[in-house]
Amino acid sequence: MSSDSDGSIPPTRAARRAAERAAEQSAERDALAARQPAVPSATPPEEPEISEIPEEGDSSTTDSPAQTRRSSDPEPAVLRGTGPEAPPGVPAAAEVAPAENPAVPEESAPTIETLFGLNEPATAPQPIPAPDESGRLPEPHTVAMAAAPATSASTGTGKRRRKRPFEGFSVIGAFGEILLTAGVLMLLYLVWQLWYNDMVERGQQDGAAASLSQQWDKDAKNNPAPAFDGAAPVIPTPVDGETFASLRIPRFGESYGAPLAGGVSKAKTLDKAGIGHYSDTQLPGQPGNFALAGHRNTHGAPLNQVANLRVGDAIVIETPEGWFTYRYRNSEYVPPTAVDVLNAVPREDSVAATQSVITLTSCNPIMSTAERIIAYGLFESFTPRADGAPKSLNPVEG
Amino acid sequence: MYAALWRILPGPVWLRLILLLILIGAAVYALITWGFPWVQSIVDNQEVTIEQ
Repeated sequence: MSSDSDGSIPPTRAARRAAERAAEQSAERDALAARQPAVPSATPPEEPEISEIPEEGDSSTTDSPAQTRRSSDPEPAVLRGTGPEAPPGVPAAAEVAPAENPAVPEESAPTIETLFGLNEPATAPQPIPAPDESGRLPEPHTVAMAAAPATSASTGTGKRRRKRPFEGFSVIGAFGEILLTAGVLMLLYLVWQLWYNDMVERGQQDGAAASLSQQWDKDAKNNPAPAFDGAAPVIPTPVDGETFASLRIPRFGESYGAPLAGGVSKAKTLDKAGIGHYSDTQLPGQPGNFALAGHRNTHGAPLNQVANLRVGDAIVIETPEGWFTYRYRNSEYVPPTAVDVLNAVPREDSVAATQSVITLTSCNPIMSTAERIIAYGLFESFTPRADGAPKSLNPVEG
Repeated sequence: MYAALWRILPGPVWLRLILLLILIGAAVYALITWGFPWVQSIVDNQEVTIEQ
């Protein structure tokens, strides 16, 4: 090898290219390639040829599967047709050698060697060393050449294969992929809306209610309220979207909680906080109707289980001052316009309220806007924060 | 178009698979974070209140 580097004659690229071209042309001429059995040994300077082979070899190797597939295709003849152009490379190489020799600069020898490991050919120009190395050379060359026909044939397939995307890219195919993608996205959206996001927002509301409770506990310790005089405190009417309490219903789960904010607009309250308070209805503990609305599905679905309430179940409103406990009494299903369920005495017009009731409204059936489900409860008691959480918050059984 | 995506991805098959999973994960994350909430704000049809 070292001997090659000193005297070797690696061709310039241009020279190589030219040589390659010449080789291809000659290859055609050399259909009679067989005539030169001796050539390979005598002409190591096939570098250009071989140098080209690796390039094509890449595509050929990647293409090999395609090629094998092709072979079974009905029209393999076309592909093979290209094969003949590259005859058993030997003859072609023989003719290349002379063309390249003149152009060869001496410095780049190592690079070519390293690139192609074809150091021996360098000796080719010198007729004398050729014989000893030629003994070896022919072998690699023939090997390379043996591969060459395959490569040249595969180059043809390689070109075809590169075209394939365009051949395979049809408007209908792309349209079909878009439709499939749209279908998957829609399914994904439903999974997100009906399951994943409800789960996430349910957790957020539970967490928000729990942290509100802790915050209020802390506030009560730092700033103790006056001693409880037996009368439920009056809660100031909250403004739109202001969280002023939280709803706890043990029937809905031990950790269930939903922040309770003023107003029933979706944008400000129902989609954000959780439960909303009809602002023209009364407040907890006061004579009249404390009316709330909440989603039965989506957005955390705080009232998802409203139909599971049983008579006597606790509906607890937790405020900074303490807990207002209501007991569930009954439900009804009404048209969406039945605003009299919000009356101070539900369903009764112009009757003075003596009791304090709670009214929960949500959609019915689930996922529909056809009706509303209404759940009523009666006020039972108020528990000041100083007394701790009421028994009504204990987990329910069954 | 997915064939083109597969072709663009570099490396051997296992690397492409990993990259593909990462891409899918990023797409789903973007959908959940921005895409789906936006869609919901448009198509949401939940009515839970009593109104005249």
